[in-house]
Amino acid sequence: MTKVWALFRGDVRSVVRCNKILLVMIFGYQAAYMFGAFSFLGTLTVVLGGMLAYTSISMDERDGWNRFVLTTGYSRKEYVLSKYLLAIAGTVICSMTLGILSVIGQKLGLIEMENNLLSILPVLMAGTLIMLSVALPLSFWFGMEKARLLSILVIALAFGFVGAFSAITEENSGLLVGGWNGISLMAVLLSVIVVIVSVLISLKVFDRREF
Amino acid sequence: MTIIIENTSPLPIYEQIIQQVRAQILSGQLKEGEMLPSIRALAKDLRISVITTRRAYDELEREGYIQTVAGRGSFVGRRSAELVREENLRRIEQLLGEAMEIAGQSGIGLEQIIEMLRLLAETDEQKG
Amino acid sequence: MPDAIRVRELSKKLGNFTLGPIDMTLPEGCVMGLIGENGAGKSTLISLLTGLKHPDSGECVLLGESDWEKVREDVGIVLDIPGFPSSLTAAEIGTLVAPGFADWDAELYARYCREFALPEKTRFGKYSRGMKMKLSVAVALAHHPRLLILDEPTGGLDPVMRDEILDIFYEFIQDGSHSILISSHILSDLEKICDYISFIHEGKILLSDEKDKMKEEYGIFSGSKSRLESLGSAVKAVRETASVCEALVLREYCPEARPATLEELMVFLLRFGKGESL
Repeated sequence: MTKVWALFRGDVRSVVRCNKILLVMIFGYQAAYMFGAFSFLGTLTVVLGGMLAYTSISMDERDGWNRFVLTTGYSRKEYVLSKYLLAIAGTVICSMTLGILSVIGQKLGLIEMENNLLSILPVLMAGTLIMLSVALPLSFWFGMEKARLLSILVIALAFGFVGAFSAITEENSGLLVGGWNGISLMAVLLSVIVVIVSVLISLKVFDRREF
Repeated sequence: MTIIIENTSPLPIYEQIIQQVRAQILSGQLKEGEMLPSIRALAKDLRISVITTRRAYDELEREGYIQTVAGRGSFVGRRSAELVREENLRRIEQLLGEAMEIAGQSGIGLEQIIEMLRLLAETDEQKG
Repeated sequence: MPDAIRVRELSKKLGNFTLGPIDMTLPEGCVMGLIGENGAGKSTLISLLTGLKHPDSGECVLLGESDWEKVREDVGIVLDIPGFPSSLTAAEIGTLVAPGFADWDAELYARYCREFALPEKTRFGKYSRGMKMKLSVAVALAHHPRLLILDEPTGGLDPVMRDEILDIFYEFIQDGSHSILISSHILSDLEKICDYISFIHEGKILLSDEKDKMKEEYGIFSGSKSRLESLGSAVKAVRETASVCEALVLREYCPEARPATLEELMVFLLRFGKGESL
C-alpha cells in the first residue's frame, strides 16, 4: 500500500501544479457557498473534487506516464488503486471543507438554517462516488483520447446530477433533513458497494490493456 | 598492457589481440606472473564484445601463454619463460642456419665460424 | 546461470501486422543488439518482454522467471519515449519512483543526475529529448537491475552524449551477471558493445548470432555478375546497378569478399534480401 500512497502523492503534486485555476475555482465556490450564494456551484465542488482523479488520468495519458509507470516498478493494480484513492480523497475532502464552511456560515448567520447541507452531504458524496465509479473503468479501458465524448458525457452527467440534487434539496428539504437518516445511510452503503465493484472492474480492465 | 585494434585489418579482432599479447610476452614486455586485465575490462577499454576478448584469452591459454584462475583473473603463465626460451632457441637455430648457408657458399669452414663465435662471446663478456 | 532472456515461439497479432513466432536467447552477461527497420517489430517485441503487451502465444522468460510481476525489480527499462509526469522535477521523479523498487539507490540516482547535468529546478516537461533520455537511464540504473532493456536509448542524442551513455552501459556489464538488450538504429554504437545481434524484419527474426561470427561468416562481394552467379547459394542478397554488382555472401565460398559492417549487413539483409531467415 505504500506504493499506492507514493503514486497518490505524486499525483497530488502534479494535479495541484497543473490545475491551480480549477482549485481556485473550487475554493472560490465553496467560499461563496459559505456566504450563502451559489448553492449549486457550492455542491458542484464536491463533484469537481472527485473528478480530479479523472483529470489526473488525462494528464497521465498526455505525458505517457500511464504506460511508462509500468516500467518503473509499479504494477497495473497499484496504478488503478492510486486513482481511486485520488477520487475518494478528492470527494471526501471537498465535502468536508464544504461542510465545515457551511457550519461556519450558519454560525455567522450568513446562511439560512433550513439549508442544512450537513444532512445531505452523505448523499452528495455517495452520488459523486457512484458517478465516478461509472466513469473510471471506462477511462481505464478506452483511455481519454478515444473517450473524449465520454468525458463530455460524464461532465454533463455531473452537472445534471448536481443540478437535480440542488433542486431537490431546495424544494423538498423535508425529505432529506434529519442528518443520518435511512436514505443517507442507504446511499452511502450503495456507493461503497458500487465503488468496490468499480475497482474490481477497473483492475480487470486495466490488466488487459495493452500499450 | 597496450593493445591496438585495427578495424580495417582483414585479421579478425581476436586474432589481433592474440598476436599482440603473444608478442609482448615473448619480448618480455609482459612479465611472468603479471596479471592481465579481465576479459570484461579489456572489452570495455577496446570497446569490443566480451565474446571476442574471451576467445582471445581462451586461445592464449590453450597455447600456454597465459593462465586463468577462476575468481582471480588471467596471468602471464609460468610456462612462458619456457616458451620464450623455446622461441629464442628457434630463432637462434634459424639464424645460425642462415649463417652456415652463407659460410658454405663462400667456402668458409666450421673452424672459422666457431672462432668467430668465441670472439663474439668474449667481447660480450667484456661489455658485461 | 539462467539465460537473461529466453523467448520461445512468441507471437502477437496487431491488426495487419503479425510478430513472430520469435525464438531468441540472450545468455547471461551478454549484450544483444536488436536491429530492424521502423515498424519491423522491435518495439512490439520489447513491449511483450516488459509486460506492456500480452502475447497471443509462446513464452517469455526473463532471468529465469516467466512471471513479469516477479522479475520487474531486476529489470531496468528505457523506452524510446520516456513518459514521466511533465510537471515534476528530477528530484521529485526520484522520490516518485523510489518506493516502486526495493533496491532503489537514491545516492546513485542523485549522482547520475549530477553527472548528466540535469537541471534541478526544471520540470520534466521542459526537458530536451536528450535530457529525457538521460533521466530515464538514471532511473533505470539506480535500482540496480540485472537486466537492462533499452528501446532506442541513444536516439536524439548527440555523439558526445551517446559516448557518455555507452560508457555507462560498458560499466554496467563489467559485472558478469548483468545483461543488456538494446534496440537501435545507430549501428556504430551496436557495432562496438554488442556480443550478439538479432536482425528483425516484418515481425520475423532473420538472423540472430554472435556478432563476431556474423562478421566472419558474411562479407560483401563486389565484382562481375558471372562470378556472382558462380557462387550460387552462397549469395544472400544482391544489389545490382548498371555499373556495379554487390552482394552479401558467405565468405567461406567467396574469399575475395571483404568483411561486412553491421550497417551493410542490415541494409543488404533487410533491403535486398529475400526476407527469409538465414
